[in-house]
Amino acid sequence: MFRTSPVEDAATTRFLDLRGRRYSVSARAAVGIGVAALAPFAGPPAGPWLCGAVAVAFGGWNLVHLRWARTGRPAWAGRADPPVVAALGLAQPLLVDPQLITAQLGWVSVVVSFTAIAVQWYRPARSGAVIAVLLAAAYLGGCLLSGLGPGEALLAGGGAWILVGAALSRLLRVLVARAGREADALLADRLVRERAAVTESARRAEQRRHWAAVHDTAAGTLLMVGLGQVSGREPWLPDQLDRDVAALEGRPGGVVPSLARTVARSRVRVRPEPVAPFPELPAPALTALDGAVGEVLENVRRHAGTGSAQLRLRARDGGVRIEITDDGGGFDPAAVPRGRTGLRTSVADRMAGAGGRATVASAPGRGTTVTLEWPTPDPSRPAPTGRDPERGGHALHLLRGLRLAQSLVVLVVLGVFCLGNLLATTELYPARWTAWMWFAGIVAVALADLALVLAGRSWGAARLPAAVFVLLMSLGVTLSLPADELVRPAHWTLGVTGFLGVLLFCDRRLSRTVGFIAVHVVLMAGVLVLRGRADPAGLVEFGIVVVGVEGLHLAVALGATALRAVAAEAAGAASARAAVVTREEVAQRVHADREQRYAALRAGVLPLLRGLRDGAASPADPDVRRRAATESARLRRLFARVDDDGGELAGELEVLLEHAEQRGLGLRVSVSAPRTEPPARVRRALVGHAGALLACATGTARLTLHDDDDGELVLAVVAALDPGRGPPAAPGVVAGVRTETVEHEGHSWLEVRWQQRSPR
Amino acid sequence: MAAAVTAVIVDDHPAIVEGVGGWCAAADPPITVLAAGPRPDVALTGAGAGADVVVLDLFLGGPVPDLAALRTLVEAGRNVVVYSQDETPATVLGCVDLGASSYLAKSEGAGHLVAAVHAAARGESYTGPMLSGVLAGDRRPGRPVLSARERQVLLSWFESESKTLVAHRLHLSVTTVDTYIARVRAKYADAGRPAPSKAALVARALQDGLVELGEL
Repeated sequence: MFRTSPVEDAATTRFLDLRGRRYSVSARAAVGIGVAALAPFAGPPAGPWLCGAVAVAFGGWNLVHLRWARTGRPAWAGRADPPVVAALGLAQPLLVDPQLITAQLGWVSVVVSFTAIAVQWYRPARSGAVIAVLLAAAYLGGCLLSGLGPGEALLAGGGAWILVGAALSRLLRVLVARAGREADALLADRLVRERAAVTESARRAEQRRHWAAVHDTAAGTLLMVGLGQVSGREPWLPDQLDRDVAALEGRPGGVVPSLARTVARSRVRVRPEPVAPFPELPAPALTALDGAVGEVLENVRRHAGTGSAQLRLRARDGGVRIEITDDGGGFDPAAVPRGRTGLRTSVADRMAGAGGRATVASAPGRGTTVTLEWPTPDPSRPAPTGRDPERGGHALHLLRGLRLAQSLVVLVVLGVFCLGNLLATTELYPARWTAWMWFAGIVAVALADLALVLAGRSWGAARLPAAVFVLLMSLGVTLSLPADELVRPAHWTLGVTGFLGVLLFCDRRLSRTVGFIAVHVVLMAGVLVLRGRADPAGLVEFGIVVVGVEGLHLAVALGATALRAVAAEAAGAASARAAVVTREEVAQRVHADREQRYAALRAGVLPLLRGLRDGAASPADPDVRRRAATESARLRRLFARVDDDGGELAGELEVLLEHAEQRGLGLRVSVSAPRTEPPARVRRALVGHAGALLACATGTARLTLHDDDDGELVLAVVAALDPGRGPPAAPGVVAGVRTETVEHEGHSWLEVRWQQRSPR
Repeated sequence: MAAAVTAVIVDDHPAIVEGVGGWCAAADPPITVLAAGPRPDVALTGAGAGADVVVLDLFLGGPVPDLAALRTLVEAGRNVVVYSQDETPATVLGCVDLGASSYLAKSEGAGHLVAAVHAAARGESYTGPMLSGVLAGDRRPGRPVLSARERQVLLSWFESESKTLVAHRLHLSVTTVDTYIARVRAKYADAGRPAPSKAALVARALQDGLVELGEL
């Protein structure tokens, strides 16, 4: 009934699939075109012209590939891209200076690793892995053809990195997809609950409207008796009192008499079972049940061949369950003959239209049982305890998982690649211990990040100092090394510093990470210029490193941003859903209170009406009049507003008012449900203030509750003060609640205001 | 002493008819009840057709307010005082929009019904405390724009049910309190769908100098 459409079901997941492809292909295209543009100037063995032609062709290919990512056309472009990149890998002997390959400066290396990374965002896991392995193999093959040894190709040439990068990318993709599914599930669930809550609320309103109509007549009679407008000798009075008592006893409008009429009309002998007391049902439900029972009995007459049936009626969950069983021929519900489709459509549709349901159980030779239920038992009815906090928190756990993964990857990069490069080059530093000092500084920040992630904390105020510290350490290395080594593996901070920015600014806006990386790149470029390495060859090499390495860092940061957005959406959906569940629980509790009050009220009103009808109580008796006035006022309070659920404050005020009535105070009350239900301490304060004044009041008092235009909830009490009692005792001060009292001619007018949109 | 006022009561509850009849008889100037009955026809045919004011219950034997009866009466040019158990703002505002002179809750009858009938007979509106609260809380789009003071007067009248208290608290005279309330009703009479009695209400408010044309 409340099934969401597939679009709503998987909105986030679809969004990620679509954007994942576009974004990753765009990133590859940007990086690919960027390094290809530098390629002819990096001393390719086949000469700048051939390499330039390949670079231009590859740039054009990237545009075709990009179009495929956006439009899906041409379809073959998606399949053709990995072979194109693999071919570049194999063609390295022509395109890349072997010296640059061992220095991790080959532009093809950048294209191949980026492709292996990007593919993970739009291919299934298995084909993503296969493509990564094939690309790595083609790249290694190209390295071997360039004359590198296998170990050199794997480590110094960065062949192993292709696979590590692809695995890291896949991990990120899996995390984001999981978070997306969480968000989708939460969103779908929230929609189901919101709709269910709306239906429930409408059902309660319908029930209240029904009560109100039933009790209007009794309230009217008691009102006029209470006001002394009825002498007791009116000719219409006995009939009216009869009707009032009957209405309160639920005789004419209830399910039993209406079914009795339907059964009497049918030409079927019905053996009804004795019946327990029944809840009153809204008119549409009664009509639907009546019609459905009529149809079923007509079916029994026409098809069962027995002409008799048994009808069983049970009260259930504020509704009813009716079973109509015949011991006739029965039928196989799986092979319904034409004549029986009427039962399915007319009965089932009728019930569904009123929010109920009909089920048919039958077998050949075993008779037929039709079960009518109103309202439909609802499996999605909010359970009092849910998995909400864990589910919302799970999305946040995924963010933590992402941070943890990033932190570990950076530590591995530092501990394996950077340490390896450092060990081989410590003699380049002015003093060896300074080499270790810079390294220790950066490792310390990475370890601190790991510790913070494990402790579930953010960098907070330490973020900026840590970022500056990392940049200083990085600069220390850069300034220590000879100018020739600045775009060589010895300059290990060039590639890793940006990654630390990703760690530090992981939970901030993307622009912070970009800013950090930009500062790092500008610092490095500045040093390069100052140290006289701004010649074309140096700049090209620097450009290839920057585009390749920082492109990867930015890609990781972008993935984190996407994950954070998904996580935030999931958390928002979870909290909105929790709010719906809470509101619905409150509404149900309030409605249950109202049902209880209604039952209690009936217990007071019925004897009074019966007494008036039977002459045991006289409308002329002041005590009877006082009781009539009180009961009539209580009935009206319960039914005056059928369009709101009341709320907890209204319920608590009702208790206060009933106490005041018992003390003989006349009350004129107008209470509407507040937009925001106040918290318990505020409710206590409001009810306490009102109670303190009512305790000193005499005669008639007025109590109102309404929302002000500026978002204030206003409870007002106007009462004549009893001269025999002292002034009202003021209850203690509660934050956010203020009072104002006006005294005039023995009357006290108290206003208690609560700012609903109070600052937290 | 003004001329005697006549009224017809449309209510399906004999106790209400009896009670309203009693208040009318005791009113000053007296209100003569020409007819009473459970269906709106009683106000459209026979003796009731000539009554100055119709006192109308909205729930005539059904669970849903019978706004059609109100519309028919207003379109026939009658001054209608709605007297109902339903205090739901949507119902109350709906009746005001249709052109009811007044809307009183059943519980307000004893204190305000006679005043409402007298006002309706003069072609004026009467605003009881409940209606006052509903008007002040009206948040529908397109509702008339009320000044802060007008809203304050409405809410105070709603809270205290005493114009003396309202006047004391807001440092006004009782007449000024009435003027503010009448101005609000004139704004409402001018807003929304036009209805014959609403036009009369606006005309009356203009004649009495409660509002200027430009303020509407």
